[in-house]
Parts: sequence; C-alpha cells; structure tokens
Amino acid sequence: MTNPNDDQIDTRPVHEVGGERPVLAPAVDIFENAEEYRLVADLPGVRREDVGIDLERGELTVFAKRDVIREGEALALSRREGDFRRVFRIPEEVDAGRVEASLDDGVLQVRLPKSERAKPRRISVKAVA
Amino acid sequence: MFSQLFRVADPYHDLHQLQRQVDALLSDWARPQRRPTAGLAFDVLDDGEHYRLVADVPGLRAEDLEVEVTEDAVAIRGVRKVAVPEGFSVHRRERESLQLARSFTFPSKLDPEKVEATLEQGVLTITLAKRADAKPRSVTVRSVAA
Repeated sequence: MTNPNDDQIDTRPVHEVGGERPVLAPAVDIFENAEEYRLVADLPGVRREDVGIDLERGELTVFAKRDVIREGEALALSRREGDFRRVFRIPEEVDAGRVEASLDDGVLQVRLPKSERAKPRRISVKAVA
Repeated sequence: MFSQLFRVADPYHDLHQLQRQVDALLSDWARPQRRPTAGLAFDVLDDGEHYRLVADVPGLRAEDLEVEVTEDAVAIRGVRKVAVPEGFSVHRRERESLQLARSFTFPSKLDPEKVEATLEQGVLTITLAKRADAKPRSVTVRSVAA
C-alpha cells in the first residue's frame, strides 16, 4: 500500500451486476468509532475493476461482478455462482464526499468518515470565579 | 417494524427489489438472505490431465496457507483471524474466523512433483497433475485382415 490512490475503488456502476445472474449477499462486518464507520465485506474472486460502491439517498450499495469459470468435469461444486450485491442504509452523519474503499485478498474495506459537526466534542467546563 | 425498515428509495430500483438486501447500518436486526456457503466453498474439476481445486479463502494471504500433496491427497491448512479493529465498537459481525484443515482425495493418483498453487483475490487454485500411469490411455484399434 504505497500509494493510497491505488486503493481507490471505482464508484461507477457496474451495470452487468445482477440482471439474469443470481445475486449473493456478501458476509459483512460493520464497526464504528468516534471518527468513522467501517464496513468489511468478503468478496472472493472479485477484481478491483469489478467492484462498485454507490452512495445515494442515504443508502450505500456495494456490488461486484464475479465470474466463476469452470473448465472440465465437475467432481465437486460448492462455490456459489453469482454477483455480489448488498444495500445498507447509512446514518446522516456520514460525510459522503470522503468515503474511501480498498480491496485486498478478496476483502473489501469501506471507510465512512463522520462529518466534522457530527463528531462528539468535548466541552471544557470553565470555573466561573 | 419489518416493512418500515425495508423501504424502496427509488421506483427504478423495483427490478432489484427481490434481490436487494437492505440493511440498516445501525440496527442489529437480521433478515434471511443468501449467504455464501457456510464453511469452505470449493470446486473440484477434472480436465483429463489435471485436477483443479478452487477454494474461496477471502482475507487469507499466501503466508497464511499451507498446502501438502501426496500421491493420494491434498491437505490445505490455513487460519483467518477476524478481529475487531482497535477502538471500534461492533454493529454487525458476519465474517467468520476460519480454521481451515481439510484433506481432499481424488479418483486417480497424483504427481506430487507437478503441483501449482496460486492465490488471487482471495481464491486459492491448486492445479494437480495426474500421475502419468493414472491417465487413461487411448488405444488404437487395429483392424485385422481376415
């Protein structure tokens, strides 16, 4: 991870996702701290150029095209065929302009920073003389 | 409660209605959905000369995996630890830690010298050559003059 820009995910829609193909919901973890929400999704077999993230009307859509290529006679098949797609409603405090995503080893990480005004602020109580 | 949480934001998205999974980031309610197969999802394919074992192992790096091949079997071992990032609270945890220890056997003998394993985008592919004497041989049928 030398250049942080290398990890930017293309947010343009991948129109081929879904349609006639089966759609799988990826397993996700969602975490939060004072600064941001973090979404982690398993997307095995998905290339960076085939992942899309849409943020619209308070909904975050993660979608990815995956091709399961199978050549030869099948002796066992348990990998599910289909594209990944899942929609999350996100809190208003997320700063849509600063959402970042990266994909490594088939795992997608989306960071959803909270807007400055939504962050908790510590107000010191001044003693009034 | 359920219908309130599942709302349609855009009429153009109606086509996706049946497929989409809408989840509220902040609530922990669960809905039935299509999840990837529990446990290790894998395919085994036979192209005549080779067996190909393909397994979904998202989050595993090459150094987390161990592959051992004998004439009769392939053993895969790997560990994926899924941890909560330091200082974060949890809203949802579906990704499972993986303790992989599995052995696969094949109908014909393998050549342990001719094995190739690659890891790409969280998918492990092991290509195993069948032992030469295990391959079916085609025999030319001679016509015998009467």
